[in-house]
Order: sequence, then structure tokens, then C-alpha cells
Amino acid sequence: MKETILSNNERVFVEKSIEEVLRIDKRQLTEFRNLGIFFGKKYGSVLVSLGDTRVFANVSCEVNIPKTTRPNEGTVFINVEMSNEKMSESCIVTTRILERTIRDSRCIDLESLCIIAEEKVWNLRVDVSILNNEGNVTDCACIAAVSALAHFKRPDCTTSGDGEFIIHKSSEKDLIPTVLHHYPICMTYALFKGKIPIADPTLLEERVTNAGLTLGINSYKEICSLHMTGVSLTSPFLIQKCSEMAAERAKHVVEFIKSTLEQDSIDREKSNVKGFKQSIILTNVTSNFCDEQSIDNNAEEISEVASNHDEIIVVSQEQKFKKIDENTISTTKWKDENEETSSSDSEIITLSQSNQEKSKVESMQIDSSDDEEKETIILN
Amino acid sequence: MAQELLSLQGLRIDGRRQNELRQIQCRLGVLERCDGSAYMLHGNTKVIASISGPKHPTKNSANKNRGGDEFIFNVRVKFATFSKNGERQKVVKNSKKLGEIEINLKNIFKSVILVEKYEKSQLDLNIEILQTDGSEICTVVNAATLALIDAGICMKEYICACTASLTNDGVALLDVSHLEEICGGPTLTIAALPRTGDHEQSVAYVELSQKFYLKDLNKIFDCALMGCEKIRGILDEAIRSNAFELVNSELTNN
Amino acid sequence: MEDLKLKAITAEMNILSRSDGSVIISQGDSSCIVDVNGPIEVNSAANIDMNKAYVDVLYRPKCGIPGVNERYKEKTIKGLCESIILTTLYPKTQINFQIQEMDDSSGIFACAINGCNIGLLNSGLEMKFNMAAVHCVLDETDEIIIDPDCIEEETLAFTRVQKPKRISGKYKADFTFVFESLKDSLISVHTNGSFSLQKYNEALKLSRQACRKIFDFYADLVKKCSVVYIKNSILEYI
Repeated sequence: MKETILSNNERVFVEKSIEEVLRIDKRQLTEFRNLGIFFGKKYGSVLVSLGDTRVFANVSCEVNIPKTTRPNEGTVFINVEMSNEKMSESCIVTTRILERTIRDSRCIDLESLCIIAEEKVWNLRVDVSILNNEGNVTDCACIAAVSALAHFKRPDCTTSGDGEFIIHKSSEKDLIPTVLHHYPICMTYALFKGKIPIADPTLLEERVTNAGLTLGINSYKEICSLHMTGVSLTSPFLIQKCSEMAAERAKHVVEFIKSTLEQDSIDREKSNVKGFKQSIILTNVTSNFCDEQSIDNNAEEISEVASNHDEIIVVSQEQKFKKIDENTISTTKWKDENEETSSSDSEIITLSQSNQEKSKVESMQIDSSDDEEKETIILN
Repeated sequence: MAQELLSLQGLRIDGRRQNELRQIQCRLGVLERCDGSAYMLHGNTKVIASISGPKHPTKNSANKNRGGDEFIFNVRVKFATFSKNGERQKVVKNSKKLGEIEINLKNIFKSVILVEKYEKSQLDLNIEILQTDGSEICTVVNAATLALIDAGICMKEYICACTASLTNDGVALLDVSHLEEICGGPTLTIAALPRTGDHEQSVAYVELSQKFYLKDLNKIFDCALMGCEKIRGILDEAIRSNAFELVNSELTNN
Repeated sequence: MEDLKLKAITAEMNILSRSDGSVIISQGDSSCIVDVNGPIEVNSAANIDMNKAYVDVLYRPKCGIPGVNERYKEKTIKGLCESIILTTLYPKTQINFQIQEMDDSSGIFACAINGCNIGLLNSGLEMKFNMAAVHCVLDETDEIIIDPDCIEEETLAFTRVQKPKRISGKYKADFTFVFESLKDSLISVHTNGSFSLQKYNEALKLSRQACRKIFDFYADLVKKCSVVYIKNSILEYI
């Protein structure tokens, strides 16, 4: 979808207000938006919301051949998908930042993913899907990917000596969680005129300034990645300052992820898994909840005409030919050689089972006094 | 593979000291048909950069730009198939890594080229990496700077890039080679404008591989910036001697 | 026959700020997010239709890249949406649907179709009628179960190499019926497995009753926010 053009008025307004230390959404210059992490029913899927930006991440695993340069390590593949163009610039940049922050910083214990050295290893695939871009997609995507990896549990497997191995069901052997050495989190700062850093820019702020600094940092104050986006010139002093601010925030975020994970495992033990329903705020005007409803088998509300439309009446094969109405979509018809046009009353029920054609259902009256057995007509 | 990055005598794997650059050689104007070109040798890394432009925007670029009056800057980076040591480099279409390098180069140079002078025109930068031995991005940026100057494009200043690394003992190493990248610590790549000073806006691009402690950031940054200064000196010399030659040849011709 | 139950449905509209219509819907153990955008400019010139809108559906599976199964679902949903939306009111434009599958127990297809309908309601596009999809299965004892519980899909952690079977081992067949709201007639059927016609008709009858409940759910959902819209519009006049 084409983005709306940013007007000069908006641009000037945002720039001037930042100079006066004011942000459009009333946040402080270094304040981040609210973070929400919701885990799904299956291990490894998570929905993260940072303000209005929403990202969904899912981790899955597969057995693969390892890389030749690292024969006893598993592999991680990260894929980021955005809603508009397939391989747009921002998509590439986000993917590369995630790859560097998560893969190159070696936060996952890849050696534990090895099954048989040089032959078979686990390949973890992280699919990140950007649902809503309201600014700062990189941060959100990174938190989603890391939470999904931390939540994911892979099946256990045993190897026999001959190179065969068995992957066990979760009912046989417990699932194994992924080992994460540390939790790298990205923080993005938009840079106005190369001097003023704004934490967690909204979409408007991102578009106005274009320049930004993304830092990948973990809770031990280790920088995992540094990336400058957009056209800008900054001073090394500023980068230092941003790193220090980011380090503070990283601790809080990692604590939050860990506590959400703990809460989720407690819920699972009590078999009280809510899944993604938790993210739905029921007090909102735009949401609705309907509990389990039982279906009455003998309800008479349904009109008979409607039900007669769609049921297929089973008939046998000795049948005289019946007239088929021209409007119906039918692909097979059985003709009797002694064609006898039946009475105009008797018609045929047709049902289209095709999902692609718009199905029309013609109602036909069945002459109930007709003792003759009727033919089955099955249509595609 | 566990070699010491810095021996007791203070020598690295290839015999340099901790703050020594590798051998750099550069030549401008190596390709005659292009508007500007440069060949750069940095240790064992070899890069050729060529500029075509400023020219009228081609149809493709004009379409992508959607009719705006902006300056169009296209970058194409290519690794030669024989560039890496050992395996043949496969040519991958739409490779994310290459895509990222191209985007980064665009952003770096757009921040220094005086864009107002080149509205409604297009500039194409083609980079071919002939041999890699660590610090490829650096060499590419330096070669591109030379090519831009050879083509006569107006820029605020030279952009110089350099890498720096950190040993386990916290000693900063300047200009990492491929071996040091693999078995060493984190590598920081910076593209900067060396003359504008420390607290001014001077850094155009930063890239970090692996992870390291926040408190070491200063050290490694300073080391890399110092490397940029040195490289600037080398580039400047090469440019001036090239200009001198050109002027001389013009005079002798006339 | 046991007491048949339609699982709990939870939905919230308007969750994505950059879309014309969006909904997160959770039906039993399946949940998905549907994102509707339109009318917007057509992507490629080949799809421009002078008389009506072009409907495009993108179904994103939980793991891996979209494959043949997803293309099939997209085609089905596209056909359904083309018949629901008054496409002739939006000529030369495109209407995009994006469905992100989040939690998959066997009823995800029905959940996605219901999500598309709510997304359309939220987006303000003109519709001819509502649609409701009901999922039911035929288990080994030849009993029909509406909206079955989450099946322990062991292999769901895997990507393409070991794709989960379409029907879990326990069930003989599964059906997804889609009904429209004007006359409760059937507009689409999607089946897997083998079944007798008698069972098919039974399943159809039960699902038809279940679909009424879903239409009531839509009505409740819209009533809640329509009160606010009406109040606001009245306030404007004052």
C-alpha cells in the first residue's frame, strides 16, 4: 500500500516541537511506549505490541545438514515479512539487524542443537510477521523473536549408533527448551539533525527524520549490534550516550520477558492456557466475547425451504431422465436412453461442492408421491 | 586456530603492532570509459569502484523515484566469484547481505554529497570486490570516495572508513584482517569524516559484529577514528599526486 | 448424540491502526488476525478491472513460507469475499485481505473466514450479506462433533519437512460449511476425508443451526460499537 505523502507542515511541526523538547504523543524524549507480550497455546508463538506496533513471531524446527564450516552446530534462520512489498529496503534492513543481533551475537546455544555431527542438526526457523507498523518495527521484531525463541521447546530425540535417530512425541519425552545465553534487545533512537536522540520513534517521527541508531544490547551491558539507519552524521559521543541509556532500559525489558515467560509456564502447569485471547481487551467497545453455546439438534427455527435446498437426496440408479434446469451449474448428468420428459413439477436438487465457483442452489420440488426411485447426482 | 592475537612482544599474527595499518595503495582514473574510477589495495583486499554520472535519470530509476526531483543514487556491489579464499563465491540474486551493503553505501554517501547541486540527475556507483581479506566495507567506502573525487562530484569532505577490534585483555587493534575477524574479538567498522573533530557530527556509519562490553566502546571507537585519520592522509596524498600528474600532462600536451 | 457445543468466540475489532478494518478472532483454540484494506490502488496493471474491485487475499501460515495449501485457502476466501462485497461500487480499485494464522487447531479455516467477515464489517465496505463458517468433524464412532477440541498435533513444531496431516488420526472426515445470513443458505463447503451422504446431511443440518449463533455474535459485536457511533454523530448535530 502506498504511504500517504508527508506534508511539509507536518514535518516542520514535528521538527520544531522536538527542538522544544516536546513529542507529539506527550512522551519524554527518552521514554518508550508500553510493551505487551502475549504467548500462544503452542510453544514458540508470540504476539508483541509496542504501543500500536504489532508483530507476530513463530519458531519452528526442522532437521537439516549443518554448515560445512561449523559441523557440530545447529543453524538459525530468521525471516521477516512485512505487509507491503516483498523485499523492500526496510524489510532487508530489519532482517539484517535481527540476524546480527540474534545470530551473530551467539545468544542461542547452537551446539545443543546438534544431533549427529556433520550430518544432522536442528535448524530453528524464526518467522517474524509485521502486522502493524506504527514506528519502531525493529525493536518490536527483536523482542518478538527473542521471546519466541525463549518460549520455544523442541522435541527430544535419541540417536542409535547407526546414524538413525528417533524424534519423540511430547507424550513420550518432555520437550526441551532452547538454551539462551543472554537476551539481546534492540533499542532504536531516531536522530534529529544528528544531535537529538528520540527513543522509540512513532511512524511520523521516523518519516520526518529518516535517520536513526539501532543498538542491540543485553542485560549484562554488552552491545550485540550497532546500526545506523538513514542519512545522517552523528558524533561518537552521542552514540556513547545512547548506548548507556539503552543499557538501562534493556535490563527492564529482559526482566519483563522473563516474568511473562514464568507466568506462562505457571499457567500451563495449571492447564489454564489462554493463548492469544489474553491480548483481547474485553472492556473495549470493539470487542465481544461469547461463551460456549450448545446447539439444539431438533430446533425448528430453520426453515424447511432452506434445509431442502442443500441436502443431497440419495437415489438409486434406475431412473428416467429428469430435466435439468439451465441455470444450475452441473458437471455430470445421466441420461436415460428412453428419454421421457418427466412432469414439469419434478426437478432435481443440485449442490455445488466447488469452492471456487459461486454456488447457486436451486430448489426443486420433489414429488413425494413419486414412487420411483431417484438418481444420485453428484456434482463437482 | 587459537592463535594469540597479540603476542608478548606486541606483535600481531601478521607482524604488525596494535595500531598499525596494513599496506594501502590506491590509484585514481583506472578505467577510461567511466566518469570516475579508483582501484584500492588494502592489505590483501582489492576493490575497484567506478562512477557513472551525473547524468539524466534512466527510465527505471525515474519510475522508482515516482517523478520526484530528488537526486538518484544507485549502488551495485558485487563480489567476484574468485574473491574468497578457498570456496568459489556463488552468485546469489537478491542476497540480503549485499542488499544491506548497498543501502548502507547509499546512506553514507548521501550524507556527504552536496545533493542540492545534483537534483534531477542520477549517479551510478559500481563496486567490484576482487579479493577479500577482512575490512571489505572499509575498502569499498574508501575506493568509492576516491572514485567520486575522480568524477568531480562535490562533497563536504572525504569519507574514510576503518575497522578496529579488541583483544581479550582490552587492547584495541587497528585494521583487522580476515583471520583476526574470525578468531578474534568483536570488530567495529566506522565510516567517518575525520576532520570535523570528536564531538561534532562526524560518524556516518557504524557496524559491529559479535558483542562486547559497553565500557570498552570508547576505546575501540577512538582507535577506529584514529585509523580513519591516517587513511585520510593516505587518500589525500593519492588524490593530490593524481591531480598533479593530470595538470602536468595537460601542460606538456599544450 | 452428545450435547453439541460451539466453542467460545472472542473477537476484537480495530486492533491495527494502519488498516481500514482489522480483527483478532479467537475461536476455541484457533486464533488469527485478519487485516482488510480497501479500496486502494491496484498493484499491477494486469489486475485493473474497469467494472469492479479486484480482491486479493494473502494467507500467512504460522511457520514457513506460504505453500500450496495456503494458496488453496486464499482462492476459496477470495471467491467468498468477491461474492460478499459489492465490488461494482469500487471499480478500478483493489481490496486486500491479509490473514495471519496465529494458533492452529483444526478449525483455523473457519476461524479465518469468520475473521474476514468481521474485518469487512469493521472496514466499512458495502456487503451484500454476512457469512459464517462452521467446522465439524466425523470421528471414528461415526458421531458428528461441532468445533472439536484442540487435537494434540505432535508434529506442529516442524516446518515443511513434516507437515501435520490435514486430518488428525482420530477423525475420519472434517467439514467446513460457510453460510450466508439472508436465508441461511450454504455458499461454500470444504471437506477432507471420506464420509457417507447421510452423515454429510447431518453435519450440514447441525452446522446450519450453529451458524445462527455466529450471526448473533456478529450482531452483538456491531451493536456495541454502533451505539457509540450513533451517540457521537448525534452529538455532532447538537
